Amino acid sequence: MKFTFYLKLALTNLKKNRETYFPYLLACLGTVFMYFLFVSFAYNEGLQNISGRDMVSSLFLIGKIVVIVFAAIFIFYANSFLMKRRKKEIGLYSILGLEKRQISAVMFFESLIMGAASLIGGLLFGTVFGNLLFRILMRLVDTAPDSTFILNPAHFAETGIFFGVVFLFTFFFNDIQVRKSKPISLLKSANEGEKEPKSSLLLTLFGVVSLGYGYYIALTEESIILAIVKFWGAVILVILGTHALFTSGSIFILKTLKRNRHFYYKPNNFISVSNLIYRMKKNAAGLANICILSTMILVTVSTTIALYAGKEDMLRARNPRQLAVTCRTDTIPLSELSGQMEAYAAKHNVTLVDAQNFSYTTFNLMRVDPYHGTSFETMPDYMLSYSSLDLYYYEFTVILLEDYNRMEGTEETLEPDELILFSKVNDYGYDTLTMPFAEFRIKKEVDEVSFSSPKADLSMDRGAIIVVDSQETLDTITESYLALENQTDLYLYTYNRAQADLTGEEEDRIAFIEEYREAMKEAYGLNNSTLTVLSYDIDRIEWNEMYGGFLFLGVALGLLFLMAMVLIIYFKQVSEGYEDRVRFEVLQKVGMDKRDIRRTINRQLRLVFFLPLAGALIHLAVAFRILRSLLAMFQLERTGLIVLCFVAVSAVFSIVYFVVYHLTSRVYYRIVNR
Amino acid sequence: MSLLEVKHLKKVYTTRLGGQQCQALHDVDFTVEQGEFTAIMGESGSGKTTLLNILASFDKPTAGEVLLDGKKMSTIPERQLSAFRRENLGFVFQDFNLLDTFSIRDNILLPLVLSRKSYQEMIPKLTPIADLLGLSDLLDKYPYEVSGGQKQRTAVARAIITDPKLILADEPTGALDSKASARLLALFEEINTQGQTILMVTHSARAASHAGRVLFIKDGEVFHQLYRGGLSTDEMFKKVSDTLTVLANGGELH
Ligand SMILES: Nc1ncnc2c1ncn2[C@@H]1O[C@H](COP(=O)(O)OP(=O)(O)OP(=O)(O)O)[C@@H](O)[C@H]1O
Ligand SMILES: [Mg+2]
Repeated sequence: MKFTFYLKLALTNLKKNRETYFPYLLACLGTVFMYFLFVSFAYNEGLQNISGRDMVSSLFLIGKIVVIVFAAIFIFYANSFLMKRRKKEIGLYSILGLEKRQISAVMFFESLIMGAASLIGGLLFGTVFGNLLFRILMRLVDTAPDSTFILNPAHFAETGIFFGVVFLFTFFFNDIQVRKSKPISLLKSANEGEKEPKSSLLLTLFGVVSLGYGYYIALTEESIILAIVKFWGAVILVILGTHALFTSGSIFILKTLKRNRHFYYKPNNFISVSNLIYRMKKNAAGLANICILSTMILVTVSTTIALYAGKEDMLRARNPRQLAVTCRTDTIPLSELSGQMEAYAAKHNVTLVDAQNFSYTTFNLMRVDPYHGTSFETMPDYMLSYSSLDLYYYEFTVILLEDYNRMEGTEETLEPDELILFSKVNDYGYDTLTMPFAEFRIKKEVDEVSFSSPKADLSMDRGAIIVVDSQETLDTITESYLALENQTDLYLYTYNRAQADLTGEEEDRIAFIEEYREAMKEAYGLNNSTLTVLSYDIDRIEWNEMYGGFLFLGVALGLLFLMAMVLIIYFKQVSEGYEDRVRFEVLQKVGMDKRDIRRTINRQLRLVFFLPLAGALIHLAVAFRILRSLLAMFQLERTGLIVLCFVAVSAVFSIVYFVVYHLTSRVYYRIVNR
Repeated sequence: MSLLEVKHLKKVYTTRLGGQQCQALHDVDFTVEQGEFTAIMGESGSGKTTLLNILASFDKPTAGEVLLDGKKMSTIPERQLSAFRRENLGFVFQDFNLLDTFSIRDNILLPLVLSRKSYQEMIPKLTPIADLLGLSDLLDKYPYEVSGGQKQRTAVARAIITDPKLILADEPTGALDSKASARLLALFEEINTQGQTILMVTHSARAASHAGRVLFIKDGEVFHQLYRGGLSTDEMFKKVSDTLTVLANGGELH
């Protein structure tokens, strides 16, 4: 009996507040859906027959963790927002004679209904659309088109338990709110208005310093390794700075404006400034969240798209030739390496095109100035502990003039102290090159070579290919290098390399490569690290799995964040609407023109809602350099492509943001004009 | 020519859902001369606020006409209404209508700012009014930090700071104790002697007795009026009280 009473009351409450609860329900439903999707993808038995099963699984496990953190924060945030708005309603109940225990019971049923509805809805969506999305994922991953999506009751249960706990916690939270509350203060709180915000100079300064330092790291860090190490630190600094500046900084600026009497006591400024102070105080935290969410969306989506779009490029950069096999000169003779390659290829109906075989020698030195200068020195021990080692570490790859001329089809000549140079990252740009034991003149700097990866814009593998006139010169270099003192690691090796492009069926090519590799390893007692086989075909399979999975995950998480952002914006518009309705009336009665009011309010709304977008775009622009370093880790080394992806994603996102603003502001105007 | 002529006003509220109608004003007809101090009395729900709202042009009558300075209010275009209000009217709202985003000072200055006065012009006006109404110490507070009576005095200050031709006050003493009421009424009387016209709705016979004339509204019509003539405030108070008693007993006058 009582039971149905509470249930009914809970239902009426939700219905009465549907303006906010319905969008909240949708957002919870979307979160459940996403969680279920990730869980069932990560553990799906249907993944069995794809080779990158582990890769896809672990990607979606990471996704799942992100959703867990996100769901917990987001559902709590939205719930507490809704509760705040309902304080008065709850106060009224207790004044009308409902006991706190009874109010709690109503709250319990509300949480139960919301939880059940979003779970049922989310799981239903998951069941219906899971298969379709799974197929899309398989398309992106591009390896196992015949994989099927298999529903598993355990995944339903896991989702149910997780969200059951989350909603139980929201209930506890609401219950505490009810128990803590005094009816009088609840009733009053609605008319009380907010205290005028305190702007703390200290917090503003903290915001400036925090954001500034975060930006500084992002803008100045040259070393890719350090960029990666410092990335999360910079992210946290920027998040803190954004929060501090939105909450305290904005009010600090507005108050400074207010103190200027000649500015403040003008009709438009008067109303705008005082309203903005008020608005910012109530909304700053929410706006900062919108800003951070927007930045997260922009970063995830644009980097994953850049990786996916750059996949082919990256593959080409890594595999300038479709097959390249490398081993030390003292393991397999060059003739054997290339001869066996040809033999195994023939066996599998594969033809080698433009086969190249040559030997090369590599050794490393330290470039004294990472970007300029012609001076290369020995690398002292302590350099190894430098996190920014990647900036100084410089690897020389030496090949002989005759090999070079043969492969490039040129007829260059060189003196013993002359080099032809190809710089792997950026141009070298100088006429001379000084090593600790010799000085060379650069006869010619070339922009590309047929036997190695194209030049990168940014890469961890700094170095140059140098062409020397003869074996004698090479021998001298080798001896002098090995005689160096004060070099941490005398790393100088000579390799044999056989490489070619392949024609033939893909299956045959892969079978050929695998058999050839195994045979050579067997015959010479080598393993995967002493015999390096780089194959375009094999890489392509792995990369499709990885970057296809990335893209799917990035877009899915981007959509999840977007949904949260839309809900926050919507909530803000609704609560602003209710407050502005009263202000609107009063201003009109005191003699302000209706159109003027609308104009100033419009301006304020736009300012308030587009501030986060502007912030997010600035964050992204600043983050560009450091993100490029991160992408370089994945061997995406094409700045132009990255810029394109970032700009395109920003443009699309801005349009979406604008549309969201426009649609939700309709709700606002409906409330104001009611 | 009278400052304000109210001719056969009728106001019918239609509830939002359309169905029910509520006739707030039936046929209200009276005039107010320049420099008069008029009180309006009547039971709760008799249509006093409705009447003031129409006079202040916040609302439109269903039938009838209001003339201010001989000019029909209904002919003032929508666009100019706000300027008209700013320049001619001061309104004290029954529920104060202060803006919670503004300090008490800024709430009072609001109409001056909207009329684009410079800050130097505002201060000489603000100081004496704030003093008279006992608000000087509260100027930097916010509406939620002050009492109901202080809010009401703020609303009064906001209404009179522009020296409007016509002050419309809806129960300006409703939230005040007797001492503060007396001060406010004295202020109204003083403003009135300087030539401003005041129309004040009140439930208090004491307050009404400060006025030069009292209108009684019943069932949406002007039911009776009393002129002070040469009477003292106390004598007027007695007359008003008597009339109210008769009204309350449903009796007929004259
Ligand atoms: N917006 C409205 N819609 C419908 N009816 C209304 C509206 N405003 C007032 N009324 C009705 O019109 C009548 C007169 O209301 P009004 O507010 O003018 O009374 P009042 O004389 O000011 O009363 P009080 O002394 O209590 O303030 C009342 O019956 C009221 O219910
Ligand atoms: Mg009233």
